[in-house]
Amino acid sequence: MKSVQNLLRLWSKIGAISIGLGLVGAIVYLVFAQYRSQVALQKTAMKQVTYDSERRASTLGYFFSEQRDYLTDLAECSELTGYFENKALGMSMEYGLQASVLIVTERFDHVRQTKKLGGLPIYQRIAFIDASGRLLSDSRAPGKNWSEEHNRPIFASGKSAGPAILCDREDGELRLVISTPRFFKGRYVGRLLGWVSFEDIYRHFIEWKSESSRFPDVIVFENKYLHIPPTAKRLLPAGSASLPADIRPGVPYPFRLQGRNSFENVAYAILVPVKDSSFALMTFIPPTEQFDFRSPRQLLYTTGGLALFIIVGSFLLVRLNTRNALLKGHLEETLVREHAVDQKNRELAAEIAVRQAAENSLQKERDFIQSLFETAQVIMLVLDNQGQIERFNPFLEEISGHQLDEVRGRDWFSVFLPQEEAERRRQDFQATINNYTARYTIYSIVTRDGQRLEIEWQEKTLLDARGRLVGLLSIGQDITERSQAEAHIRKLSHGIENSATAVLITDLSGRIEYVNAKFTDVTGFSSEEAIGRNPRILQSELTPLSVFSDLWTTILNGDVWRGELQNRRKNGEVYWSYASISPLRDDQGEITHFIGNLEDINDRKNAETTIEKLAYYDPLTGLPNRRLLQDRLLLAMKRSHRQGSSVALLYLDLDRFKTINDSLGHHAGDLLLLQMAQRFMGLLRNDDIVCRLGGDEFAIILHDIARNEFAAQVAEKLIAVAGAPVVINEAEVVVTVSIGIALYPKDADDGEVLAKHADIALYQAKAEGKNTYRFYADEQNEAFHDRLGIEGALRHALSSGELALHYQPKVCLTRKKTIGVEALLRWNSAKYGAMSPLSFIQLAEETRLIIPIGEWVLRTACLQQVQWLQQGLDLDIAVNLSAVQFNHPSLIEVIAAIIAETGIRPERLELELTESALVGNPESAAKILVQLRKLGVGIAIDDFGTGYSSLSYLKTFPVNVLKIDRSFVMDLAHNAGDRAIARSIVDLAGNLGMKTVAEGVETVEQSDILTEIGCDYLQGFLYAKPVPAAELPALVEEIIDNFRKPGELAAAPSGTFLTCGEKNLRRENTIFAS
Amino acid sequence: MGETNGRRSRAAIFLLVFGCAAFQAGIATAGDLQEVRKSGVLRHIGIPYANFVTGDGDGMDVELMQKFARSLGVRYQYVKSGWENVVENLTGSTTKGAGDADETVVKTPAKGDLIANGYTILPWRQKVMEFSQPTFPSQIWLVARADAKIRPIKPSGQIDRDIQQVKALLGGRKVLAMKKTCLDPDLYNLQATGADVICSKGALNELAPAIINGEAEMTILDVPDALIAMVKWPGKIKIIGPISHRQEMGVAFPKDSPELREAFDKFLRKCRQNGSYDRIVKKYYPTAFAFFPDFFKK
Repeated sequence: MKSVQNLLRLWSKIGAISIGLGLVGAIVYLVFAQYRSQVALQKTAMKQVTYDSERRASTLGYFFSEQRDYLTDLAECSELTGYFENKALGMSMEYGLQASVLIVTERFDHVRQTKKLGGLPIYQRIAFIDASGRLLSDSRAPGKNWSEEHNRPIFASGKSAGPAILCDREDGELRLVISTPRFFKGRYVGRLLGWVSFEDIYRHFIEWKSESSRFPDVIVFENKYLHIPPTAKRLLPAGSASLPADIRPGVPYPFRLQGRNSFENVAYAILVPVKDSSFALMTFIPPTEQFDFRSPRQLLYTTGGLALFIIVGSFLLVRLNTRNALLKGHLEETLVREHAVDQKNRELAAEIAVRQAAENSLQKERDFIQSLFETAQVIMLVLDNQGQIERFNPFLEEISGHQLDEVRGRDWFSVFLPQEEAERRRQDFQATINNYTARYTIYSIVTRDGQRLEIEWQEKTLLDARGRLVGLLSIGQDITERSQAEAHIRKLSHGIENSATAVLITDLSGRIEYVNAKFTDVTGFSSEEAIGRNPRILQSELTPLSVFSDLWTTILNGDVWRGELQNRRKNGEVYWSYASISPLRDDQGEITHFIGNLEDINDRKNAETTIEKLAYYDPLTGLPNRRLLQDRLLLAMKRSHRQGSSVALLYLDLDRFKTINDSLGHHAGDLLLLQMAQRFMGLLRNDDIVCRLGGDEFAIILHDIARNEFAAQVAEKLIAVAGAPVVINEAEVVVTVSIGIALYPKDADDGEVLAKHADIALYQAKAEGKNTYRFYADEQNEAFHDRLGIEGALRHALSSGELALHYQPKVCLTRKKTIGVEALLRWNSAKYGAMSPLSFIQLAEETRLIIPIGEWVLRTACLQQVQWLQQGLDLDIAVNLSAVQFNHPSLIEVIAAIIAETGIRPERLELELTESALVGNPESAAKILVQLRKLGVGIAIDDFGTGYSSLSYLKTFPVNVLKIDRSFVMDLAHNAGDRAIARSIVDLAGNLGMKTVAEGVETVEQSDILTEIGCDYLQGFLYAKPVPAAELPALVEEIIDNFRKPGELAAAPSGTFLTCGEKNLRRENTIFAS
Repeated sequence: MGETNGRRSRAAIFLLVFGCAAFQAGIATAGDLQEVRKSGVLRHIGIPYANFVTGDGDGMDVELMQKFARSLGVRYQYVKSGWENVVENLTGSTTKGAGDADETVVKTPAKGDLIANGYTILPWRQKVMEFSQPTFPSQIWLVARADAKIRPIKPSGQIDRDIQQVKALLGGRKVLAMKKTCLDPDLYNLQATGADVICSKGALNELAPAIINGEAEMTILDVPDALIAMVKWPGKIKIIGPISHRQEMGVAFPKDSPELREAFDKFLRKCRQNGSYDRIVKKYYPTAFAFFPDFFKK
């Protein structure tokens, strides 16, 4: 039993020992497995840390390489090359070379400011050191403390060696320096240095990692020194400025940290060199993240002892097994994670590279946009979604005078907009904001000094990355000038389009680019027809080529040409236009176009031609008139003066034209003048000139008169051609011409005087019997002046009472009594004495003084008749009426007024008219006569038989009396023809119910014959001469007494003694008395 | 719709093109400030020259005058002129002669209100015109083709001695100059040096190309133009040394426009104070600040 028990105890012990041994074996196995697991974990962690560190070192190495290359390129820049070339040319620093240095420095400055990494400049300083180590060009960042440059080791370092990454300590600050040599024409000329701060290196390549780890990398430079950043200084012990001698790249090195407890005071450092440099990165693994690189062995020892303890407490085996299982699972998981971490690290590296590139690109974009923002010559404005100013660019500051710092955060619309527009624009802004839209608009802003600027805006809402509205971006351009210019152009365009003159614009070659509506109106060419063609389409070929030559010369010289052109419309019609053609210039002052204004002056030119013709030519004959005569005469005189020859001026006056005009009518007179003009012109040389001065007066200029006889010959020919019969209205008319001739320079050297002298000569020719010519003589001038004197005296004769009426009785032989008297005008001039009616009646008619004188005569005669009647002397009274009076429009009114005024019985008044006064215009004369007859007065035709009596008219005239002219009475006793005429007149009158009066009866024979043929009344010196009114009653009594004395009829009454002069006077009275 | 599209197109264009065109109009007489304000236009007489008036519608003086016109509230107008008649275009008088011996001989219509194109203030010009405060410094240099045998002088530290050195090199050599400009040979007594002076009829901008093209060995140039030439044709020309003392450029006004000149001086002071003048200078002469530090210091 005992043995069984012992056996059992033995087996139990064996079992327990076996179990214990089994447990120990299991524990050993588990401990070993855990050891292996921890070793694997250590390797993974190391791999990860080393990988990260290598990646950073690689990035840093890439940065170094890139900057080396960049500065190597910069060292070869054209500016530096230019400097060395100029230096090689011998240029001095004072004169030229300094400019090259400035240009180089300008380039370095630009690079220093624009070469950026992560939005910050890479280089704090870029400088060029010449071969002797002197600083040539230097661009330094402002705000840094750069020590005075003098014998700096960095300047001497390197010399002609290749590019290098160095360190430079200055004022206690260590900087990284990238150095690259420069060669010119194969010779070393200096080095380009670029300074980079360690801070920036840490910031860009290291600190992003250290933020999470709290253990930043440390940069090792020159392969032995540690650059400890501020963030690491608190961890690493003082004096740790050098790399431990026994540290090996990639091998974890325990590093005792500063101020930590014993459990956490050691960190492992991994050293990773930076490729192609004397730099390295040292990465630390913090205690909290590290696996203790000694623990697996320690674990082996301790867990062995522990296994014994576990044997004792086998119950712990299960838990140990469980933990082992967990550790195994953890290990597997760690392996998976290791793989995942490795994968993620690769992805992260790729992403970092992409992000880096994107960041660089983004930074470039930002730099570009910033540069654009600062330098753009347009307004860039950012408002928040409340309309408050966030920022704007310097251009707006410049044009508005508002500084951004002063108005940032203020309401845009209140500060910048005109008060009256602010609210409306704010609403527009709100609408844009609310609708998330972009829009184009124009509105004005007000500058700080109150000036209003018109701005063209392009606005767009701004959204943040999440699409939320944050404000409005506005780009604006100042279009104040453009708007003003456009408005100005619009006005000009409207003005041109609606111009009252035709406008066309051509290019330099003359090709039409524009025509306005008036152009089409005037020329007939539509704009489609005209554009693209040359203005030659308007040429008429009537404008001289010299005009166009002048035109082109003028406008190509840049001046304005003005002148008249004869153009042709589309329908072929030629018209005058006044053209103003001027060049148009561009901003540079170059001529680009020509603009032409064409005013249609056709009507004006026609009017001018008409006016000129009216002004200088006689409308009836087409001959030059008096005005043109003066011009031609002056020209002829000048020509004569040059040639030493003479000019003859002939004044012509048609004799009896007035009579013809009066008797045949004005139309006949006009035809006669035309005939005469043609005859005169046909007679003269080509360069002689015939003018019509008016009425029946002509003038002729004869050039180059060698001798006076030539003028006389011409005058004789003129008289001859004028005297040839003219057939007018089937009637043959004969006129004669009187001519006065004055010679230049003999008679006058002045045109007006010459004309006056010709006129005087003409007067003389007329005075001397007409149908002749006279040369001017000085005495003629005196006579002419005498005539002027008489005319002046006559004008005053009426008012000064120098005129008087004499009365000559008309007797009736059958009734043996005086039946009436004829009133005859007398002028006893205070200056000239008793004037012959011959000398002043015609003058009175020519000067129309006959109108007031005639009225005076009529009134005086009527008053006298009434006065005689009151005295018991009942006589008819005859008053002569001149043709001028007869044709005066107020004749009827004047006579009616005088009748009413004087109280004369109209039937006692007889008006004597000459035939010529009546037959000129018979219809008109008949009407006047009828009106006179209606007044009750009698009408007598004076001098009947001497004019162009028209018997047919005679029967229509309400005439009472025919007076037989004295020319028929004079030879009555001896001329059978005169007797026949006298008889015919008496018979005619008798047949028409008229009375007859014979004038100029001077002899008893005449009286007897006239009595025998039945003449009713006789008037003449045989019975009485004209006597003043006061003498008449006695004379009448005497005549009656004579009739009472048988056989006394032949005897002249007393006071009727006839002298030769009186005979003439009597005849003149009969002819001229009016 | 078409109108809207047109406006949008225009807006797109002006986003790309910075600057605007000025409208030109007819011209009659020069006017003082009141006349300029009344007419609504400031007429800037200019001759394309260096970067003052480039001839392409911009330039330092063009921008300055555009800004001046804007400050007056009037439209800007550029009037192109030439060296032969620029004074006549401003004053309405034709002047004859050279150096300081000018005399007025003919009256003609003035075409502008002021001259600004890097216009050097010279004694004879001051006799017939008024000048603003200086707008830019200058000096006249002798410039030679790079392959010319003549060597640049070694500066002595004294300007008068340097000028003597340069003039001593001129004897018997062909030198380009230009009458009626700041490069008028009479101003620097070039004939007395024995130089074969050739007066160019072209533009000032054509002198440097002329020596490069072999038309002459040397020319005289003012400093701003020489700086431009050095940048444009690096290695093709060389600066020999100075011909003149320091000069200054300014804006010229008719004698009877004192108010306009005062207005410009006031405008210039304001621009120099607020930095806009420096911005314009930097745009067209970036090295000027370093080259003439005493002139540009505030």
